[in-house]
Amino acid sequence: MRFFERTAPPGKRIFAPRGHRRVDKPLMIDYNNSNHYYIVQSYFALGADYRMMWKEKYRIGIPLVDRQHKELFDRVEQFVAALRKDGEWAEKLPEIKKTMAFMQNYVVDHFAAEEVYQKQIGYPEREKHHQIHQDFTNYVIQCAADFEKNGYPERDVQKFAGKLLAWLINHVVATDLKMSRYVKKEGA
Amino acid sequence: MLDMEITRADSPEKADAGKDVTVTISLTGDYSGDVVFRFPQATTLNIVKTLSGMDISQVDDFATSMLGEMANIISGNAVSALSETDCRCDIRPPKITLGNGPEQTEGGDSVALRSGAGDLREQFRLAQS
Repeated sequence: MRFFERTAPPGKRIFAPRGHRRVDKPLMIDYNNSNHYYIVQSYFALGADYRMMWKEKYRIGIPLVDRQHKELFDRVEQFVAALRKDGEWAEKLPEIKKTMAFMQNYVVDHFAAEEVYQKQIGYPEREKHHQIHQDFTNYVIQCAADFEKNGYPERDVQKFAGKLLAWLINHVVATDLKMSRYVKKEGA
Repeated sequence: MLDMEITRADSPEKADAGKDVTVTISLTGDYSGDVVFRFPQATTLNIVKTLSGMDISQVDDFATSMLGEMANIISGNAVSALSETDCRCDIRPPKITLGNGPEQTEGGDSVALRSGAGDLREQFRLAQS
């Protein structure tokens, strides 16, 4: 799986090609240093092994949260696929860095959205839940900083990915599920 | 737990000690000592497949780190349950080794477990502080 970009002249709409998924917001870049701006759209090419991490049984029954969980799983899967695919580590690094940043940003966004939801429904364990989110966010941020400082050592990134995956699945099926049970019980 | 059911087994499957992944979690507090998880290679590869959807042919850092986090979660849950009985314990980060680690797995009580991904063994070497 890989990232690539397509360009189009201004005013022309870009559709995702068959078997591809748009992952970035469109950018406007002046390619030829004139007043002609082109639309640039990034895509992620889907491979045969796309979407294997997410399972329907991970749904907790809160549509907003389930949608975001699915997106989060997809992004984690993209990151893991980038670092696990065949090829020299140095050649894979640009894609690994890009997918890691992409995943990291969504972790932060999702946690924030989930906590807003928890506040809206008066979830009694939201402080404890927030602390769990905070601890994990700090861990991800620290890892990203260490990787950047140390040149993305392969073994460390592989270890991070393994831990990330196990943590995420457990968080959804155990911690977030508690939130769902509260919603069902209280009719929030 | 973690997308898998784990139950007690009568006896663990025969393991190749050299290829097992051993995860040791040390406890401190009212009880101190070690909890040791032993994952045979086949179980390890199946767990990775179950959680990530990806086939791997050999155990590597990605796989061992995943198991380390699993053991960390299991132990953390156990310590939380203990705290509800006024027993205060804490856990240290997991130590992961490939192979048996003989001095780590001798003695203590042992229990064979079965998961959807294969058999594993858990060993307890704990003493009341």
